Amino acid sequence: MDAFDESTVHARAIREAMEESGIPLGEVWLRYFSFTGAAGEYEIDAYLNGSLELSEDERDLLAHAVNELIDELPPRRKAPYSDSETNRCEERDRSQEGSAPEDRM
Amino acid sequence: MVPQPAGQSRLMTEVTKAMEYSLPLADELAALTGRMAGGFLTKESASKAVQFLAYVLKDAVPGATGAGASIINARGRRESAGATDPVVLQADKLQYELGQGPCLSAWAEQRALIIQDTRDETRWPEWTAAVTDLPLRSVLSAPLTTEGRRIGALKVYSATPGAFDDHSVFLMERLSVPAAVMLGNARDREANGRLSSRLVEALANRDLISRAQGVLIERMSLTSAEALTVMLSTSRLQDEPLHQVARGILAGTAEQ
Repeated sequence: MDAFDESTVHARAIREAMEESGIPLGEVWLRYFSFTGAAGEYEIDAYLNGSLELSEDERDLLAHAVNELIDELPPRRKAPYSDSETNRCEERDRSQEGSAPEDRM
Repeated sequence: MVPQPAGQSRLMTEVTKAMEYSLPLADELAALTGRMAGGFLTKESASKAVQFLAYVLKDAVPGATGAGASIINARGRRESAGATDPVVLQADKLQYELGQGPCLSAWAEQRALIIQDTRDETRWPEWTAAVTDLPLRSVLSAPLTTEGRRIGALKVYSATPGAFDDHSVFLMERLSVPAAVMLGNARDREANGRLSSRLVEALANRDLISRAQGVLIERMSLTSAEALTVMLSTSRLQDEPLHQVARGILAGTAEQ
């Protein structure tokens, strides 16, 4: 696999991770930019869609930006059990709804 | 042709390029608009972009001696966002003050309107009376609308009567679509003000990270790329956001 293929495969994997978690490009770029990333949003878009190459260093910054954003997503809801703990869990979950993403920014 | 304020060279290059290669101007403008919509379109850069749009409009519509854009909303906001000359601004100002005129009607009725001769025009009597001293005889105005939202209107003026026809309308409408996208985008971001605060945060973190990078370069004799790799590995290993890793590095130097 040559350098170009590597870059393309990496791009696809990053894009899939973004899509799976519903993370928009604008968010990713802003975070990547805060990591001293040098490419513009359009270059990142072009890279993710296979029409531009990025250096390994830039790719890793981009991947890290995506991963941080994924880590900041609210955890997935878990299934409750039938014992008394469940009601309390449910209430706690409900109180967190709506505020979680902003709180974590 | 067009004055070139500092800092607008890139935008200007795009516009000039579009003209040089004589590609369909509307396509080029759409591409440029898309690029700005994706990047940072602050209120300032949007108004500069509209300023250039006004020049493009003036060049694109034969017979036009002046051009501009108005931002209008139902809550009473009425302002000129870009104009090629003082006549445009004066005529616009009169429209806003009198509450009548071709741009306000184009916006309200959502269709292009032509005044063949301001001296014969009867639809906006107060406005046409007010502009008799201006070198302004014919007007074409078209609405700026994106995704059903009425943003404002574009207009071209001419000092001679009968300057505009259906073809002028066609040319103007080709420009009004990307212009509306551009302005709509700027208004969205202006409205929620989120971009600026988030951008400031991103800039602050970027500064933090590059300062930490500098510390590592000095302390460990690394290149800047290596220093960033060290921080990235630390962040991954310790499961800590990169800007916190950077803060830790900077705090470490402060203690020493």
